[in-house]
Amino acid sequence: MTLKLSKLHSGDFCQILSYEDDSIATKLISMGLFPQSEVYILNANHRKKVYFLIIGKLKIGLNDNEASSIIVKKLENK
Amino acid sequence: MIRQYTICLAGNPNSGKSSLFNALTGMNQKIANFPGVTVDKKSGKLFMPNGESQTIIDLPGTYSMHAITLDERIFTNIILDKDSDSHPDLICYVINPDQIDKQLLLASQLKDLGIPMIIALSMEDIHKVNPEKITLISNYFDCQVIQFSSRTGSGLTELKLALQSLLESNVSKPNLNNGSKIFKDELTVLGLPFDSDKTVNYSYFLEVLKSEKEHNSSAVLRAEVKDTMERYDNIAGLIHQLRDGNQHIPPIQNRIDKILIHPLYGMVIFSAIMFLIFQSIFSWAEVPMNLLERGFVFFGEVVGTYLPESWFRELLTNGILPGLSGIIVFVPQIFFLFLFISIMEESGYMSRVVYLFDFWMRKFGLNGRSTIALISGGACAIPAIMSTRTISNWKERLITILVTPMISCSARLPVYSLLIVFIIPANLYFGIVNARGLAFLGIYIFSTLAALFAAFVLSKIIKSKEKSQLMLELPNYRMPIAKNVAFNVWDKVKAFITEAGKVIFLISIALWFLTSYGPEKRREAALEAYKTEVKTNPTLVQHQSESSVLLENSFAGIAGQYIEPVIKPLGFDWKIGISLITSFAAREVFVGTLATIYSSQDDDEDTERLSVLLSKQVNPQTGQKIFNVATSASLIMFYMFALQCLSTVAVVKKETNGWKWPIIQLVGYTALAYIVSLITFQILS
Repeated sequence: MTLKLSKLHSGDFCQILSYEDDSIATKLISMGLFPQSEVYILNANHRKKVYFLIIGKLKIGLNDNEASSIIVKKLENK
Repeated sequence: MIRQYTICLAGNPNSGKSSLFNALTGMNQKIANFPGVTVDKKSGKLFMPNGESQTIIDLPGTYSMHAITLDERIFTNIILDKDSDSHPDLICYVINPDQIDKQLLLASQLKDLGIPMIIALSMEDIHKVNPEKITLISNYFDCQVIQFSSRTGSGLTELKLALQSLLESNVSKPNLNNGSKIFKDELTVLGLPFDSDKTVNYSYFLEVLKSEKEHNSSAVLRAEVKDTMERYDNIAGLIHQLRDGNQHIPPIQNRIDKILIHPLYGMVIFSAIMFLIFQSIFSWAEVPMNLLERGFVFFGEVVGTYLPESWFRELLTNGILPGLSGIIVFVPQIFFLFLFISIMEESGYMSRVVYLFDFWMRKFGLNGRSTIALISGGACAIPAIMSTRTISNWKERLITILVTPMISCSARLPVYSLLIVFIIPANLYFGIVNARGLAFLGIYIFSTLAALFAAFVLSKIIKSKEKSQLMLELPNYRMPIAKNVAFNVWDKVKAFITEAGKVIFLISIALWFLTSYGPEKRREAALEAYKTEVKTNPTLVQHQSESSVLLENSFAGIAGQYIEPVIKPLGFDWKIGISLITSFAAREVFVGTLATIYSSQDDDEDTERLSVLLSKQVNPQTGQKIFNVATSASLIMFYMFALQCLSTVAVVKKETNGWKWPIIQLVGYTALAYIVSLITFQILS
């Protein structure tokens, strides 16, 4: 099932499929959010609209606008 | 003649560039960086093994040649502009081996620009890359790869030898995508105009994208995404080969993060750290401050005793020494402030603060990154304003620039420290909590709240449809490198002493002249009148001395009395007025000026502490103390809001590309300072 990254919760795993917004896609990829990367959501604070992601050894913080521009596939928790 | 080359350190943020720069240049840096994000280039001298020295430049960390923020544009402009003085003859591309994957993208872009390149893998002491992987990287990019450690110094000599050898050979290796057809086709497909007579290499391709960004933004964005994706596809194989089995962050790091970014615990820990910082500024700095103060008093007494009576002795004891001591004694407090900010940045905590506060900052029309500016603003507004270059949204950036000077900076420290003494007694709560330290924290909290309120108001006035961006890399926690912290703190303390010292030195000389001399006839007449009055009213000597009569009729005294009607409603007399004027260029000069003015009218032979000297001052008309609670609080309020810093005005002009915003800021701050100060004095008096 594909969904926006902003819909996930703390502790979820997902795989990046694509990006909706070209204006930030370049930066997201350059920062290490590559397509097909597996992402662990360390913290998803929907009320405060911030998301703390772990991709391999990389940690990235996103706001809701950025998180909702990433289309992901939810993975079974490891 | 030895040819001068420019070597640029490039890489992603947190790759270890600045540590390498510090390790390679030592104390040979021209300009200082500041705690926070590297947002400007800084240059230094690199001494090569052959004895020659070359220029080395540390550029802001960036992820891609497709720049979004201003600091990233500084990087791309220098790399692409062949006419720039800073354009590199050689790029030393620094990679943090912990996260090689994402750092190869920019390396591939730089390689395509045809500038000779060496890859330097940092942190050898923590993460040693095995030789096969080094060979893989070296073969792919067709350049030398050296691993080093800034902490232990290993590999630095090899790196210098490699840089020297590449400069001497002057060989530019072929690009990865040497064929111009790829870029030509791409521009044609996207419908972006280009000069077909030119060689369409990667450099020209980027120039076309840059020039078309405003007119064809969607086509440019597509081109940027395509360029990025294609590069990622090309290096995917290499990334796969380089990945080791250990692709996980140590669990302890995640556990710390869960606490530090927790909405409640995170805030409590942040508040506790701020509390500790302000307590330490007052408590730990007390001993060295007292020592410095005693040192100046002792030196003043030695000069007064051993130098023959002359105008020069007067200038030293009543002009220069009190002025300089007024500034220098506060160095320990400034040292602690910058030390803590530097440690917060080096340890990786500062980026957690950005994440933690992004939601709250957006409520006030700011950005999570504004937090760095607001915290750094507690040290100095100038680097804090420059740190806003990492904010991509123009409205959020502008508001941060406009409100940051409201945060109480280190230049206000001497003013507050001096005046708090007249408001808060030196009590200790629970044996450790310093009452003046608490008051100090209160001042910072109040100025922060005022800045947030101003930001909220401005966010309703300034309109923009741009979206807010966070996209923040959070580095792993690490022990701060002592050398980096020491460099940062030393740079800031040195800048404070030299910049403030130069101004106060000149102003002390000018003030000594203006307070020691005046129209002779007027001074004689005033002195005569005073002596006659003392004969009929002997109690007058308790409130007014001969020196104060002379000071009142000096050049400074006459000028001060002209401005007194304007500042009297705030509780200030003409002597404070003179100090307000001299500190217009730099706030910290206020204390030095007060020291010079009051020393010049002090009849005591002993050189006293400034606070003691000021506490003795009485109004000759009312007989009441001048530095009472109302006046001191009013002065603190004035300095909290007044934009008494020409360097800030200059940097705002530079960052906003014009005079409009600095003028609005200057007028707004001055008016606000006057009104708040007036209200404070009228209520408290």
